Amino acid sequence: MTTPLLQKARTRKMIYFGAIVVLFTVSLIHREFVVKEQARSLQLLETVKGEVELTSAVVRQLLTGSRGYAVTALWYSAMEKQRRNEYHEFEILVKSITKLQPYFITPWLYQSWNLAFNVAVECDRPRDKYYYISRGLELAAEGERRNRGVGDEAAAAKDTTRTVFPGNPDLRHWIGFVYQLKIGNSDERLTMRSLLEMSCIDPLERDPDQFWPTVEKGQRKVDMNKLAAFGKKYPRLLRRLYDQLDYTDPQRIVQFLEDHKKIPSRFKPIDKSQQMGNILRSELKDPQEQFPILPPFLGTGPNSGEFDLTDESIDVFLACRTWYEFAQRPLPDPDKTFRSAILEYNKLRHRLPRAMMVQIFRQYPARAQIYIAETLAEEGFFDGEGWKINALFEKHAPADGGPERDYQFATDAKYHAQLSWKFGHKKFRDFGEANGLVISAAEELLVTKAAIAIRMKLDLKPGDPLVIVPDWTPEEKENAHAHIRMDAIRYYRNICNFDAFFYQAEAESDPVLLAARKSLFVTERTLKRGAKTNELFRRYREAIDLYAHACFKYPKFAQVTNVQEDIYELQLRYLREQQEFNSELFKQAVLKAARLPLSPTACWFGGLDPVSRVGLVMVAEKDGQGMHRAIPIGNRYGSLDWIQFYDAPAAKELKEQFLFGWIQGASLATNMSIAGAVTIPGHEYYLLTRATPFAEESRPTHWRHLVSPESREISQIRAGVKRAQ
Amino acid sequence: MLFAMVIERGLPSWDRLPDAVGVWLQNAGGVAAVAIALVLLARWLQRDPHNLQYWALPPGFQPLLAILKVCLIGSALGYLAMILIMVGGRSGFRWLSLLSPRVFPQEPFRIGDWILAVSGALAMFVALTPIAFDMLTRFSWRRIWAIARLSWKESIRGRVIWVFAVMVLVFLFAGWFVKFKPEDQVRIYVLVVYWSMAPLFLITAGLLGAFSIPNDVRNNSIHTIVTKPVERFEVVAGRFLGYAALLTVGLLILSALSLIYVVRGITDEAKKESFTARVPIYGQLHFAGTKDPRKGDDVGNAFAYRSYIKGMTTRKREPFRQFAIWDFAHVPADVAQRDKDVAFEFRFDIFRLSKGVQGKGVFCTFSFVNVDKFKSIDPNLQSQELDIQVTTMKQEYELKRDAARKQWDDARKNEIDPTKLDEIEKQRDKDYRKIRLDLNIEYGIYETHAELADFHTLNVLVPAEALRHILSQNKERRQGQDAPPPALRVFLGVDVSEEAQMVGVAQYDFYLLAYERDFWQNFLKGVFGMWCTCMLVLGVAITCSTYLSGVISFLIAMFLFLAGLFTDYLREISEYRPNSGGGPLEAMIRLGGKIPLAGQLESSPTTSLVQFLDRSFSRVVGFVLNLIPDINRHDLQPYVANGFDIAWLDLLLLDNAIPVFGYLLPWAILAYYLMKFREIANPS
Repeated sequence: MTTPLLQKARTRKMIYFGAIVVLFTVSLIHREFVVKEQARSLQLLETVKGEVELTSAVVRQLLTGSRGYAVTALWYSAMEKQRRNEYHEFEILVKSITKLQPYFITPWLYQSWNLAFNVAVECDRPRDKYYYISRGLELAAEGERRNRGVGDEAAAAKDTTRTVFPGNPDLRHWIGFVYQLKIGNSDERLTMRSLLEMSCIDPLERDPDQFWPTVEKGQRKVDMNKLAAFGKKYPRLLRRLYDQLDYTDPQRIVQFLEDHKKIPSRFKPIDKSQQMGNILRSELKDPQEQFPILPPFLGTGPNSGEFDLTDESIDVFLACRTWYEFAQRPLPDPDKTFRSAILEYNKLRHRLPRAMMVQIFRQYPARAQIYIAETLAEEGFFDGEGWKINALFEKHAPADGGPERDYQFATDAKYHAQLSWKFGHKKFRDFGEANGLVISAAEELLVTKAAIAIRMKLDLKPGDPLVIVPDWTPEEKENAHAHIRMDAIRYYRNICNFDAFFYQAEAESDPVLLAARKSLFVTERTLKRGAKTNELFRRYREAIDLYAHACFKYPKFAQVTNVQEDIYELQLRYLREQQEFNSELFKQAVLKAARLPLSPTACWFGGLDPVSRVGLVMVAEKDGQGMHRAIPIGNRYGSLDWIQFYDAPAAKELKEQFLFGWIQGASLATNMSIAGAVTIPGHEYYLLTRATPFAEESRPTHWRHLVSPESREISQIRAGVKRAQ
Repeated sequence: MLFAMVIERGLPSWDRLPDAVGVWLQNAGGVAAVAIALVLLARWLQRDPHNLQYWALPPGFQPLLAILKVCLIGSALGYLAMILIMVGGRSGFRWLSLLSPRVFPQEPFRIGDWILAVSGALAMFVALTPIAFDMLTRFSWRRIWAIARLSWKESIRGRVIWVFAVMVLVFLFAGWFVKFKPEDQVRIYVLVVYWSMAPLFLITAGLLGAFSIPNDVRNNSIHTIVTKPVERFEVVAGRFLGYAALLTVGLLILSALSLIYVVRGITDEAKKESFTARVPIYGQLHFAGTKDPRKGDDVGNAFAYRSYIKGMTTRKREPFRQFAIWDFAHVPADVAQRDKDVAFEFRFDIFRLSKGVQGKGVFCTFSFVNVDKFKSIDPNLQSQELDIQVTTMKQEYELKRDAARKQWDDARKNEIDPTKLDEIEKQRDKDYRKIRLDLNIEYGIYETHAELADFHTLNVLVPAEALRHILSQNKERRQGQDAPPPALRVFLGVDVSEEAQMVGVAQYDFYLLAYERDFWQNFLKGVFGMWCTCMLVLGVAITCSTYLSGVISFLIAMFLFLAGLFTDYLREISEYRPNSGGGPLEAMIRLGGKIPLAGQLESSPTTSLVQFLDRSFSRVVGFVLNLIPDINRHDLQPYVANGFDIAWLDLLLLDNAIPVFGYLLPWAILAYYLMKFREIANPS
């Protein structure tokens, strides 16, 4: 028999135990269905933030409350190691920091920048630079994976019920931007781009040992057939080395492959000594271990899981474009009508970039495509003609000759700059349409009309600020929105430099400009190699004329300032080279002109009066050196200085539909022959154009210089013929 | 990556040992003096002073007590004199400041330093004498050995050695997390094993040392010892030796395993770069053509380890070409007598003033010269003379070679047998080489070029025969020279190019590669540095545990260890420099008032007070710094990782073993007294 006291104690214990069980069960249920769900919806769970790493989680748990101290100490040590240039230790410390702070974006961004820029720049050898750039990129990519979120962002855009946690647009964009700056546009871009392409080539294919199987008198001889096969498969790499880096000797080309044999790549290294039999190709690394590191396959574009990375030509800007496209996924849909000042969106499903204006951010994929086209053109790949490189192979052909071959590479469509420009134009159009920067002509007319109505009523000019008053009628409000929208379109187009890219891409894909570019490329290459002939200068002239033709055809393209500056600089070079090439003839011509004080072209003496000018020439011409002092010809003028064209708002229509038809009619009326009625395509663009030697004089309304005085001045300063004010 | 080695502190030198001993006497003696002062104070305050027999000497040695008293008085007088000198110096008696100690450690000893050192030595003598007597008369090494064995067994039974099994995780999984360039493989592996082993052993040493005696006291097991005829310090010594032995064996085993981990599957690049133990011979660096002969130009690099020389351009010729010059006082005879080419290794930093040509590095020229052949003794004039000599030598070479070429061309023409043509070519090349060598010997100059790549160890080879003849045999000073001429002088100049570039050099960036030793022995030598650190932590932890609780002892040991990692930084703070922003209070004022470093603080009583407090703070840090062990000196991992031999005498003995002994000795004295006077019966 138990005593009542014991009975009571037992009952109390039972109640306590029951309460514990109930409370524990309730807490479990509450945790599972309420707390966890809430954590999931607020993105507080580690598993929804992105890839989870066990070691990182364990270390963080072990450090308990001292994580801050540990990170501070590691950061201090890392900075110290960097200061002392002890980069291998620095890198390990950086990795440790990011393991302790995986969801804090700034360390990923900062330290990847630090590696790719600050550490890389300390190295002098390109391959060392390349290594640290790759390490910086890999670090940022790891950060991106850890903060990638979950769910398919692209699918979520269509299905709003799907659970999605957005990734980080800044990290994704940053990776593309590092590729662009450090490999695409750096000072050593030619080498860097070559290394990037090598990273994508199977090490067995670029193994230098296969290119020099024989040794003669202690010197290795390059197997030209193998090099040709390699060149055929990777023409851009070969051309960059041969044409742009001037590795005209095949030995140097193969040496380059040898020097950069061990670079970060997409493939697992092969230890030849441990391999039995012939290996046909290397094994791919895991996508996240590969370099160039790319986002997961986006449905189109490069796919790291495939042996052949892409159907497009390998290009650093392709990597940029892929990352920029991936960075767009977390972004909310744009407001095409610019109705609200602040973009409203679901912050749990979408993210906006932290620092950059969202329109500029959205433009990057199209911009990267323009870079791809520009690079192809810069390297000389324009169209199906490809690259004819007989010079290299014929010069270094083996003594026994071998079969005659035509070494024409890169004829595939993926190497055509023209198609790339076209694609770039399309991408810009898509971007413009998706973001409301490009609207249809009919819509534009409607919106403009509405905007004009409110402007007239309130005496506003385009660009004036406007606050919509609630008392206005719905029509007035609509008109006010139209005014704001038109301003926004202009503002954002301006901010994004949209017109320049859009119209340049359009013009560059045109066969006329393409022909001009090709011609200029060939002449520039020939000039660089020092082979100056009159034929070369004729081709120069021809190219500049073709360029002018393209400008007439695409007047908006003609206004792109950097294109103007580049082409004008080219003309200055052409004139200088021509002057040097025909120096005697030029001297005589200048001398004669100088003796004609009233000649309008003899304008080099500025303030001197005609009489003293003649006297000076008379004295100076006796001394050859003195002539150079007497005739200080620095500035040169060519056709680009003289050409002007009519560019009123409806000039195109005026030329194509009215003037050209009228001229044809008039011609037919006066001649009455069939020949008079036959038109040569493109001639309409020459209508309403003129060339005047008085380039600086004021021009009539709606007439434009082919190259604006501002662009000319900038180019002249750059070329050193004029001093900056 | 990285490079040979950055030796910011300079290499240890036996010449500096007397100075270091002097400083040690000042520090350790100072601590001893303070301890004695405290004891005397306690004795004075004690009601029955005869109960405290601090210096109880054996009956036959009572006269020694008088000597100790004299020493004590002498020491006290020395410190008193120093106090008076310092107070007097500050009170307007400027001549007294001449007697004060030196301000910077680079300066030679002053009278004040000597007074402090002698006073410290006397205080140390007073403190050490009883211990010495105890050691000679009472201590039993058998008992110490028994306690050491006991400590060893306790540790093994306590499964302490299982801690070392953590290293298995490192061996198994480190490769997953560490990426490296092929040439960095050895460096990274060494780094990984050192970084993993060091905390493991240090924490173990700290825990073992800190908790052993407090546990004995808590469990009352110490009574079983102290009730026996065992000296208390024997317990301390036995514990220390037992744990030290355990740590040593553990360290040896894990080092051997780590070595296997490091050496497997090394890439060729890594082998070349750091899988060796180079024995370098360093020269003394100075400059010619720069403003200051001791340094080159400053490029504004935050890491001011290197200074830079600039190359001339084809467009613009400077009046003086800049050279970095290394003087090698001697070259070992066996190196000079070798048949093989002698390698001089280097790694410099390139600082580009313009981007240059893609894929093309910066070129420089090394000129190995015999200074006896120069008319001038001034390096600036020698560098100009060098250019002329080299030009003349080249012209002469071309003349002689052209003359020889004619003969060889004729020989080729006259040779009917085509199989002998190769032989003729070989003979011709040999002839050319001989002409060159003769000229090298005649002019005392050997010149070679190299393309630089920064942060890589590169080398130039000098033919042994040329080097033998270039070495100066002259040991006599020339008129106007402070020292005998160097055996070899090497001029480094950046080649004339289209665009100017700069090359950064430091004294230890260029060296003669005298020998190469095995990597494994260097690896194990490197572990000795870690062992020294373990002993420091163990010693400090055991000493503290003689009086304090285990946790507090462990924390003190770890605090001292961590502070020891930042001694360079603390030293910077202790050297108060008003021109570099002052101390913490001044920095706070500057931050608050947005006053830049270059800006002067307003002259006011507040500023004076702030500067006085900052200066006092620096002094306090300087004093505390003397108590903190310099842990960084025991970090020998950079030598191993970068493939540089750790010299037995200079590095292991002078820079590691002696400092550890020097640091632990005062702690041992402290442990002796603390343990001796501890009330064990009532641990609370």
